[in-house]
Amino acid sequence: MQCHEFETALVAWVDGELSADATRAYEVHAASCGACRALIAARRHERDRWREALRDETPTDLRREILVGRPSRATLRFHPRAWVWAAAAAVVVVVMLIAPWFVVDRGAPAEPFSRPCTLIAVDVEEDEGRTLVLPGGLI
Amino acid sequence: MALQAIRPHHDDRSDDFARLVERDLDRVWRFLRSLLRDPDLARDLCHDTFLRLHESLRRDEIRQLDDGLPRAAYVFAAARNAAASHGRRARRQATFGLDASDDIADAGRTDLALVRGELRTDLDTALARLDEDHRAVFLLSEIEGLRYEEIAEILEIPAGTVASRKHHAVQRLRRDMERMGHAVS
Repeated sequence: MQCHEFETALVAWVDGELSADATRAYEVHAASCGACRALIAARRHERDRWREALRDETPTDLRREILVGRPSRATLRFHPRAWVWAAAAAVVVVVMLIAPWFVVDRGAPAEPFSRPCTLIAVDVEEDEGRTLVLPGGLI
Repeated sequence: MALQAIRPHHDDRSDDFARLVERDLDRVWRFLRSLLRDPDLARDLCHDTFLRLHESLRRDEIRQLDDGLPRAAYVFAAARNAAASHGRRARRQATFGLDASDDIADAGRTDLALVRGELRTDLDTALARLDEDHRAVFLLSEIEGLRYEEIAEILEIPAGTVASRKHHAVQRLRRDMERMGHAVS
């Protein structure tokens, strides 16, 4: 094993993720190479420092809320879709309540034509079983 | 809703759930906190993750148990899924502007520096520059000490990809940390 190969697999080796054969080759090289042994020590030191730095205490109130089954703030948070439906329902109710005030009694419907008229022509053609009605016009 | 809000978990799995919280809450919190870089969001998703785990326990939906509790891989997968589904939802709402930009990392830096050590703050900054896939692998392996096979199961990727992402995440973090004056001695 060469030093550059050693360095490439260093992270996986420190994580204990190399195969048995690769681990043996690694250990043989490390036993004979002081520079690579220093790399191992540096990687372990780096990992321990990062691990320690990223240790976080869980907020105590979060632990308590989870254990007592309190819904999360996200669950209780404003839900846009629910509000849209609620607003739409409110609008429908309001419209139904006020609609009677705007209904106007228009009386009897007006006559469709203000003066007498006569149908003078209707042409009928058939095309492949469909009937086409061509109005001639009204006077 | 008010009654539900104060009702404790009282069922035949409540003891198991308490043990699960004891075993995994700290590391799920750490994972989500560093993955999302937003303590408030991490808190909400951590909470939701455990409520879902409680439901799954109560309904006996979890097939593989370890001493009566879900395996760590199952728990982290639930947390990861909560984060992923939040990401999808937030992207749809166009409010999820977490693209690992330096601005975001720097914005949080001033406040964090007041309460955390410089190493932690700079590590957060460097982590923010990793994409989320590499960050998740790094956190699960380096900080939580999970095996590559477990991480592969959680993230649904091959173990070789986990190894590759871990290697590159470490290289990138080391380079960024050295630039910020944290060379490994």
